[in-house]
Amino acid sequence: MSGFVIIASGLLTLALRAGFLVGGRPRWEDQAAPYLRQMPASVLPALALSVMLGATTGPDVWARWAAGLLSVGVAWRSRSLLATMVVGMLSLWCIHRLGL
Amino acid sequence: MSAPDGFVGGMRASAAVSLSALPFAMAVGVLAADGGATVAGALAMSVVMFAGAAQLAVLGLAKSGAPELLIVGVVGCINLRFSMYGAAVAPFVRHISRARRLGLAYLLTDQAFAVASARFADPSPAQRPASFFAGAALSLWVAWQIGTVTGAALGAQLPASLSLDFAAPLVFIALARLSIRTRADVYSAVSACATLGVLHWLPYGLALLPATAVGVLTGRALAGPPSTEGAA
Repeated sequence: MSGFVIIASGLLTLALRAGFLVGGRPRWEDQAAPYLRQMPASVLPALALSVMLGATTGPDVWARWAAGLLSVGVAWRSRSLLATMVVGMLSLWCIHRLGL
Repeated sequence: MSAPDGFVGGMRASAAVSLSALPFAMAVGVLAADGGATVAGALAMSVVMFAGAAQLAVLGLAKSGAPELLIVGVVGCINLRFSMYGAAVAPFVRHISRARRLGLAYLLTDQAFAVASARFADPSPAQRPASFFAGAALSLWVAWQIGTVTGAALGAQLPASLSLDFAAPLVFIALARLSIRTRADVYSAVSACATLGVLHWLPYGLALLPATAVGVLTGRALAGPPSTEGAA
């Protein structure tokens, strides 16, 4: 992997991050505010599903889906990152250990 | 009592998220070492890019021999969502200098956005929101670099049975839950996920953009006036 790829990727990523954050106050900001408020609840669950779909490949696909769905339940009830992580990883390891 | 604000408040708010980013970062480090990168090379990549999903894509594509310009283009597609995050965070940090905003932009990640937006959505307005964001994001940055170096240094010594890569979806599942506070948020989340499920065949995670748009529009359309929104 070349330095060009890393540096170009880094600069492009920074440009995307900085576009709206560093620029001045856009004229449409007041109109967009109610929509921007819905942004976290839209993009983060979709991102979670996207990453989950990407991570559920290979021979243990069902184990990962089972652990993932269990984690969704824990996250919904507890709203705790730590509990979600612990239950998700432990359940995946248990399923692997049991050979399911 | 309201949540602590300022730089230290941000660090405290992101402590659990930062810890949970470690296994994800280690998985990136392991993959980098597997692709022939030195520890210094893996660290340089993490410092310059600081974007987990894009780093995974770069490593995978480079290993498969993809053209360099294609790899950079894929990074752009994957990281397009950061533009949306920037637009959502901008109103809270507009009072600080452009140089400092550029620094915050460099630190803008999914996790930092989730922590900050949860605080900014709190009924008691955040004091010193830019400092809060900086504290949260910098904690994540430090954890990310430590995780990458550890993963690259240990490399193949970490057994594949640990399934460290599975930490990434777990982090995002928990962060997604934290973003859902009202009935409108539930509408947004369900419609965004349904759209993503339908369009998942699009390459390079591009389905995330239309899914977000549908989620935002649905949430606004079905929410009604703010006073009628129920808690989720």
